[in-house]
Amino acid sequence: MKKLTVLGALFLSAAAVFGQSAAGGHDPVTAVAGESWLHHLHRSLDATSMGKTWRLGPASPATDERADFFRVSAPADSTTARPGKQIHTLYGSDLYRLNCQGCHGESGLGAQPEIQSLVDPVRATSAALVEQRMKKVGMQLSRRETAEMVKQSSDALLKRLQDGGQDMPSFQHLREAEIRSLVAYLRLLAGVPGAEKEQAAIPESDARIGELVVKSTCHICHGATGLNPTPLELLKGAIPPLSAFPERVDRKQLVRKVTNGAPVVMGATSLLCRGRMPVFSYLSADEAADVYDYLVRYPPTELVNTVEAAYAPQRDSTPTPHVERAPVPILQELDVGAWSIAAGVFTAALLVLGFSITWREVRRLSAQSRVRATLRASRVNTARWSSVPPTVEVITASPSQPGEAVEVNAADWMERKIS
Amino acid sequence: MQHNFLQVIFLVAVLSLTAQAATVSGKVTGVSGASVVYVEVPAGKTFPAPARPVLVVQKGLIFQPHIVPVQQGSTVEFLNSDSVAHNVFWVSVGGNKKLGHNLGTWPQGEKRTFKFDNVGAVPLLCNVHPDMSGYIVVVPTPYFVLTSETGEYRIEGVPDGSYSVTVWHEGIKNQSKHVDVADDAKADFSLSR
Repeated sequence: MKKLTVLGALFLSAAAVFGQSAAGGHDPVTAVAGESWLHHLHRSLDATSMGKTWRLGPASPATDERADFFRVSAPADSTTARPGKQIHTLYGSDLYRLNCQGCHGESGLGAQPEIQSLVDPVRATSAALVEQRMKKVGMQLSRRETAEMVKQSSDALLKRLQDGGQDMPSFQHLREAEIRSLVAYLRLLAGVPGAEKEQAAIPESDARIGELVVKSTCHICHGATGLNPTPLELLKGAIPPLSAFPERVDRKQLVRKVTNGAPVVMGATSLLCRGRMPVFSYLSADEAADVYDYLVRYPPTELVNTVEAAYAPQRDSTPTPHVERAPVPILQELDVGAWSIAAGVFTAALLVLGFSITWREVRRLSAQSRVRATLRASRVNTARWSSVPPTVEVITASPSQPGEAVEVNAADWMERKIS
Repeated sequence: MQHNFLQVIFLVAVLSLTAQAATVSGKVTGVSGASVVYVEVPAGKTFPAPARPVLVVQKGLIFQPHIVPVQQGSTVEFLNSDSVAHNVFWVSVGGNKKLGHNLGTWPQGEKRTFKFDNVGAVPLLCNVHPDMSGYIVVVPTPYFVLTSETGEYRIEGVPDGSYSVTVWHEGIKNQSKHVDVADDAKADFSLSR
């Protein structure tokens, strides 16, 4: 009884630790932060193919559209953000749309010179295709060498997604399961044989879908924070920051702007003009609505730029004492993490040990009782067992053949054991 | 004393003989694009491997330069100047498939080196980008040159002597010619596919 209580207590504490770590392991949705990718590259919208779908909104607004645009009363549901917890099933093809298609296009071929094709680098991750190519060029590669070459290409591809490149942003915000599902689709897109069998569905929340579209697609051109540009500034090429969206449009207007295109108020006389924003017709109305809700629920933040922070004291006219404080909390956090992991591992080990001891005990007892029952049965009614005497496999340590498994009559064995 | 004097005379004579260098020039016809022309090793002579590495750059999804002649024993540096990862492998060296090698895959700004100890053409390929191709032509002597696009060449500093001069061109069997070098020599090649 005491043993049971201890076991129960152990189980509870382990469950608490595991529950905690499980909650910590799940990537929460975070706000978009920092400058746009184009701003980072010091490139103007006209000087890039990034984010271009080569489709623009309507050229001149129709009169009813104009009325619609200036509509004062928005539907009740179009301004308040939904909870963002509804779960959708996405495939790699969806993840490609939300994250990659804005630059690499539907085919994955990109737009040279700045947007590379992803087809060849993905094909290089297929052992079948590498073998085929090596055969064609007459390269003699062993299976191991081919595997090594394929691994090099796979590592390069994953590193690319993780770190980005000169012209490509990092996609660190993608989770492992998302990357796996996405890469499976990239392989399908690149024509890797058998890739159709690799396609995997993953569950995603509304909020996560909004986050992916914003971080991977909108953020290429739109910075996270800043001032809402005036119509004149818009005419001069300003791109509204993501933080200004809820101020500029309601949900319905954003959905229309993203999926169909809508005119923008521009210039000194504030005329309705065709904007420069491409139409993302490959995003669904729901996905565009997710973008709006995500931006409302997770307001974009300023990225703490470490380089700027380093220069801040020098730019300041009045020198302030330099206080170093960043590393301490980080270290403490790491320590706490290490301790909780160690405690979790220790508890798990104890649990496993407890279970294995119990399991062995139960097995031993049940084997004993089974043998006893057999013994009783054979003694009470021998007729029932007349032809085949009950046998049990026993490991004996007889002097002639140590450790050999022999079959002995259960009754004999029991008797021997008892005497 | 006189013995010493004779020795000096002999030394000067030998030095002047070896220092006498000439040029081999000519034209490679029948093919388009550059070829590599080099002097084969004269009997009983060896050449120390050059210490300076040769650079091949991967830029704009192209091996630059496209054809790089190097002396046997040279170290070649492969620098990735593209924003994407590149791989370098070669199927064979001088047609010997046993010398095929995969140098690896590496990102922008990094380089890998390889020392080419075997003579022959090394067709460079990239596993990531099937359209990329280049050549390293490993030659046995320091007397080699990459011809112009129209085939003209001029190898300077070849010591007087009797040599075999060979031309290499992408996808064509090597052709050799016997050349006696005393002052300047001429060797034209006519290749055909």
